[in-house]
Amino acid sequence: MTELGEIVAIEITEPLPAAGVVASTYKIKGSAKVLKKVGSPPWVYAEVRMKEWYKPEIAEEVSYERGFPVPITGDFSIEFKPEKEGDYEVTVVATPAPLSLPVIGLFPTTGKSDVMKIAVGKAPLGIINVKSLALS
Amino acid sequence: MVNEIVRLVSQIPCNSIIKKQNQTMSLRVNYTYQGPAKRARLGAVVTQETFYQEFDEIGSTRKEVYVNLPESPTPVPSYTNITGMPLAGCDPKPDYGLKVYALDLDGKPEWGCKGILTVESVIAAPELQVTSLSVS
Repeated sequence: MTELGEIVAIEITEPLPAAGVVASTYKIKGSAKVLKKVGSPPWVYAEVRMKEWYKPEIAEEVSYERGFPVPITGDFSIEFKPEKEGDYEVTVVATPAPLSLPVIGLFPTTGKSDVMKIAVGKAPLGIINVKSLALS
Repeated sequence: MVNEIVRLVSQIPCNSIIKKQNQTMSLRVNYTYQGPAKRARLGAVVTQETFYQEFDEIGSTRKEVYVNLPESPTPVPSYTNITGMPLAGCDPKPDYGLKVYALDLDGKPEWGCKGILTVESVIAAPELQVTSLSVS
């Protein structure tokens, strides 16, 4: 497993922000290259781990968002749209085995990015302040 | 025991106006907005001062409009016109007030001004003029 994890190098060029808003779409951009070879891995996924603040540590939801690497360059873009408030940990993973997704999780993993943490909350409300009225 | 919810209405400057019952009233609301891009509602309603309330609403005069507020990290001045407030439901008398409120934003802020509207009757007041007398 450790050896497989070193086959693909994943570099994130546009990571997620530290804080986000529910139902907004964020893009993760980067490149995934097969080491010592030109080319790209066949499958790139964002592994999204979400924990709601009031649930215990073990109650963690895991989901996968697929990205499409461009052949040769390996550049990819993955859209991430959080539907719930909570603390998310997002890792981009590469795998040659898409059939296992998402039923039993990603296996084998051939590359992994650094973990990106994003705290997702409700959209902030605006503040309006009426100064004067003019009647006619 | 009676629980009374008191809502604060911030008083703001406004010009005075005289209108007839069959006319409509328009107003320009000058305000500042700070926050994310949002579609909110601005409403206005004619009020009268009673023993119980400073701003007793006359529901038939209510008018609400949608406002597309652009994202602004700092308070940005803007204005919105609210037109066609019907005055048919107002009795002919002076010293009506006006209340403006915002919905879909942080809380339900309200602003108002008192004694700025005089509503006149459309029916001329009966007038008796004695033109001549004949004695028999």
